[in-house]
Amino acid sequence: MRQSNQGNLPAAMLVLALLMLWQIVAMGMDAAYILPGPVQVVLRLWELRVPLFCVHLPATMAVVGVGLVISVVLGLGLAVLMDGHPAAEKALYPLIIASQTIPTTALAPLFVLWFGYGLWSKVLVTVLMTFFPITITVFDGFRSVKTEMIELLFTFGADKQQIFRKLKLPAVLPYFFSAIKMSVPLSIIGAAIGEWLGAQRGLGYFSRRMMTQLDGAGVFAPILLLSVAAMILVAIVSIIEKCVITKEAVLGEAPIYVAKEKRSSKKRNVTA
Amino acid sequence: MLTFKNVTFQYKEEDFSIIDHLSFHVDDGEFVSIIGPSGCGKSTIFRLVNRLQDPKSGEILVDGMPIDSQKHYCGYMPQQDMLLPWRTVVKNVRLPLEIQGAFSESEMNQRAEQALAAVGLEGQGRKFPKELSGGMRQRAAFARTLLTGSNLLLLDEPFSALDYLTRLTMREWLLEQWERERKTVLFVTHDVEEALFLSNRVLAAEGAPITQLRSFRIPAGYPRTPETLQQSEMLVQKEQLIAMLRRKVS
Repeated sequence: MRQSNQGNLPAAMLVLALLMLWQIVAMGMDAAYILPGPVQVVLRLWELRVPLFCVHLPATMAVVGVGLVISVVLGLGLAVLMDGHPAAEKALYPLIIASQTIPTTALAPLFVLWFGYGLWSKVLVTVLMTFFPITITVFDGFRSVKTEMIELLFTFGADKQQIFRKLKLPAVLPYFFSAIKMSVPLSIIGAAIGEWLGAQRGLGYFSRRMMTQLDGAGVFAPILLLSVAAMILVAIVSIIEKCVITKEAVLGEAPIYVAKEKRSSKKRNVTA
Repeated sequence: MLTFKNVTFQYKEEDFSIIDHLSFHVDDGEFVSIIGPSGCGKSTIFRLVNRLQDPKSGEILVDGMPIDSQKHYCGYMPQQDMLLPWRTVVKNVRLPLEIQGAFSESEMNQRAEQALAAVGLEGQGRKFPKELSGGMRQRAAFARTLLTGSNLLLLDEPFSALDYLTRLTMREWLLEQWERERKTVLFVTHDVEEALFLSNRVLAAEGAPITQLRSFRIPAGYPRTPETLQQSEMLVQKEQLIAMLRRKVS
């Protein structure tokens, strides 16, 4: 976003080089059940396209979607609550931090025990992994609002609700979007782990099943799909962010805004 | 216009009253500067007037009525411009109107554009604050203060963040604004020359805690030019004020 496509060229070339190296090593080893080459993985993805795209991808995306929605609602709710009530902050903040020391992945089998092989055990893993970055990042966003700004609006006669709407909400938007971008890959990891541990469908489940069959390329194919799905989701969030931020040009850091400033700084006349 | 009656105020974290039984009065249409060494509680006086703090005892009246029974009685302009970076200049300026909530969209925009024109920022409304120079941003902040609609303006060292030359221009500009609008201005500064150049009257803080503000009437009439400061009576006044403030610092 910040640079033109030329800026991505070195990265693309490095990726290509690494893929070629992988392919060469895999061909040298010639043991596809341990290390399939990227070409084999892509071929396998193509062969398995029907179950992967029609059954397992939708299952995983359902977990990711439901998990993210719950996390966003929960995270935003907690952040707003802690911002509005210092007592809630004192009670909740340490708890939320402490919750991150719980090894979610180790608990996941327990969730399967409690909630069965269905959707909800995976959603719980996803939520536990993603509500934290959303809560903390959005809360930090609220705290970044300068007291002087709040006071100024107060002197204009603003009540709490107006201060929230006109000052805090727009100030928190960039934080909110980075939180979501952080959470998307996490939620996919969470869903895959959940499925890995016990499920009837889903890309994590599929990957594990292929492992038991010593199908190396079949293990990699759903992982490749997961990565691509994560990238596409993050890209979608970025596009939404750009639309929202262009509308109100949120904060000085917003890309469109920096570009504008660069252009104008040259012709800026010294007026006083 | 503004009256302090025996006002005492203490910050929770401190064990003394930074303002102690302070009484003073500002007349309608006056330009009054409050000067004093930094940290003496000048800005606290403003925080009391705009109700960011409540006094421990005493009474503050605006137009003869206690401030806690009033709304929109004063317009406050802080040291930094405090323009919201995600709003265009015109949308920043109309913020007080949005909060009052009694105007239509087009009415707010129209009044904001008028206010911008009044401070010499015609056609700058669609820009974002970062695209303006420091002086222009302060003028936009002043326009926003004007749109609070109040006759009492509290300006808290509004030019202290600007470079020296911009400050010189801005204070002449402010004087023009005041002569046209004739609102009551209370101006906090630690710059004696700035206070002399602008005010009808200077209130000097007599050390901290502030128990009394000594009033000095400024001899020169309006309109003033930079040369006004070179008049002998102004120079005498300046020496007298500086001597007084220095005594307090030492």
